[in-house]
Amino acid sequence: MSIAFAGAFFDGTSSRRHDVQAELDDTVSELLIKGDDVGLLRYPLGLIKVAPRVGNTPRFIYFDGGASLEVLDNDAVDRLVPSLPGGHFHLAQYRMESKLRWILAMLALTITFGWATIEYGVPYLAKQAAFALPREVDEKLGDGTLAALDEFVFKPSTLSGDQRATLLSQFAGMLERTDLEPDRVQLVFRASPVMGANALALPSGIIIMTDELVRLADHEDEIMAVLAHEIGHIRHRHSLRGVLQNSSVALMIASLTGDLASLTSISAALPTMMVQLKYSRDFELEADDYAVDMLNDMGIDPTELGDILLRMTGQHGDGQGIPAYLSTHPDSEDRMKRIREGM
Amino acid sequence: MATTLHGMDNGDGLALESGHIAERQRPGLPFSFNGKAGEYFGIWIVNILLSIVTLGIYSAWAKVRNKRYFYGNTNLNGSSFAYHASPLQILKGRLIAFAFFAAYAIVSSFFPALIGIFVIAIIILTPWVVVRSRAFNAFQSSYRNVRFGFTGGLWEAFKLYIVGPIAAFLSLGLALPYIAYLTDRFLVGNSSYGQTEMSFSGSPSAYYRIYGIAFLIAWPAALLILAFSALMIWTAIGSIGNQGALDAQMATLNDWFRPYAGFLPILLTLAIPLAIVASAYLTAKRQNYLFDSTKVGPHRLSLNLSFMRVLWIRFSNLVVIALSIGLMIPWARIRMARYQIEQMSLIPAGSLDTLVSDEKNRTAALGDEMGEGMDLDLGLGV
Repeated sequence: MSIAFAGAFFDGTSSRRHDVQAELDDTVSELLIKGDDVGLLRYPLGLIKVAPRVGNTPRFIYFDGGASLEVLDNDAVDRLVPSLPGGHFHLAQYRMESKLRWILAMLALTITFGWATIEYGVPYLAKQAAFALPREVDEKLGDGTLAALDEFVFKPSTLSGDQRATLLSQFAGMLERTDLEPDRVQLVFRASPVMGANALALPSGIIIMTDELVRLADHEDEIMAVLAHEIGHIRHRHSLRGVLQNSSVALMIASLTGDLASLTSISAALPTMMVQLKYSRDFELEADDYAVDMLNDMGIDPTELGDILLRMTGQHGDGQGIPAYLSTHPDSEDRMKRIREGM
Repeated sequence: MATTLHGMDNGDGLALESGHIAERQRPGLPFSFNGKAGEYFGIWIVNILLSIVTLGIYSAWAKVRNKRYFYGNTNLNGSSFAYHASPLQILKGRLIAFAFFAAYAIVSSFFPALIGIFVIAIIILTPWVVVRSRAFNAFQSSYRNVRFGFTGGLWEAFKLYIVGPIAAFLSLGLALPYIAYLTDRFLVGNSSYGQTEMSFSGSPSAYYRIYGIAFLIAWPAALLILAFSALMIWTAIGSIGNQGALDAQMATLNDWFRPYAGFLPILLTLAIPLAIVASAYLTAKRQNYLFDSTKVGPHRLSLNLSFMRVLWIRFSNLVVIALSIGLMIPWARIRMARYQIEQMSLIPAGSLDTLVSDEKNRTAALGDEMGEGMDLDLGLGV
């Protein structure tokens, strides 16, 4: 079998191009280069480097001493490659990239793998990482948040001392049923005309409840239901896991869509945001599940949670006009349905 | 390929045969691009999958294959460009960069008091990274087996990349065109093809003209985006990094948005398109001017991007990528690269057959892979 091909030879000292013919010698030990200006050059195969094939781009063969040969006939070079030391691996990447069945398999695997990573991989790893870290990490995360919220969103609570005492003692009773350290969670009262009826859990373990929520509730069981949900956020360390998940997803998506310059910002930001919102909704559902278990344990009807959620979002106008997949919280009706099914 | 012709812009001076020039309509020798979307799709998808399953290790190989595909398909006068970096060099740089950013993330989350160390490190490292990664990429690029080179100084890089942004900010943007001019002069003027030095003959006034027009297009957008960001920061303040506070953010957004409900549509329908238009204008005109002002020895480069065409390609690429959930990214990249590269040409002066390679580029590039890895080029080439 004879392997021969045309190429452009460059000696490596100048930009001058020499059109040559290359040929594998009969003993399969040398590559012969013949051309009008270069005469006959012999290169032992052991000292030749062939660049791995990329698509159908011109192939470069590098010789000891800095000369190179640029070849358009990729198939001829492919036939030469098995004669070179270690040459069998040269085409591995090219084969995967060029065969339709490989491409389709890669595409299917990428979609499956990408989906599994976002759905299970990242949340699982973030959970393991978060629970391997001491609680001080969560507390550090929420440092100063209450002060900032007090500055901008909250006003002092106007609840009476009696009201507070009742709620605090019920809350303390609920905390005893958890496996949390007694000083892990703390309930504080604030008024917030801006936020309306709401409760939020800071990673530091502070749960803030608004006066508006207390007024919105028909009875104390509903308040306890919301507080159980917020304890769920703290128990499951959602803040820390959220930080871990959101930053890894942002990094992953930026890595994949990068390199598009001006498009990058938009084409990476949108999918990143949608995945992060999905994680936020998943956390809400996990906190709901925690609350349902807690309420069952306390002998309270878990649908109390659904009832007050529906009323809270009715007041907020939650979800109105915002599609579910663009929201931090799942639709309240769906949450209610889920709570009923979970009983 | 980046819109700034990154990847090619360090490399673009070239040598060629002097015959057959007189017959051409446009002066000079055109660059051509032979990449095909279907072929590139295979490379792209393999790059992505292997990068994911190897937890990013393969991204170094991915970057090399990606670059080689675009370089190899760029042709001038019968010869193509070559990219020589080995994946292991890229991997080494990336691992060092990764360690640095991991350390930064840990320190910023848990020891915020020590963050000053990193700020100082970044200030010192930035000029070094710019210069080293530029030198690495230049040296790893060749045409006709003659390598490119870059020898910009650290002090000048410090002035441009550290002092420059501060000056641009303090002057309310008035210094920005001048800094852009100095940056282009720095990047081109310190480049070489073999022993042949490149030179830059641009003038600051041209940059002021280009940036001025871009600003005239963009100023309503800039104003709107500024106002909107201020509003968002105000509403979201104090809710950073808190799941619980997300509740607050959501509630406040819902409640506070209502008065500004008309604002978001205006932003989306006016500000963002204006920003896209202005950025396309800036890219096309600045790149044209940069190339037209560049010489490789006595030979001139020319670039003839049409602003409207860049705008159209960018906009339609964005739409197609979104509608195809990303699967058309390879097609979009090939399309943009083809347009940009085929608008380039080289106008030779005299014989072009004797440009000589330079051995000192080889030694100057040692250790540059660290700079390359630290280069904030987040795209893993996949």
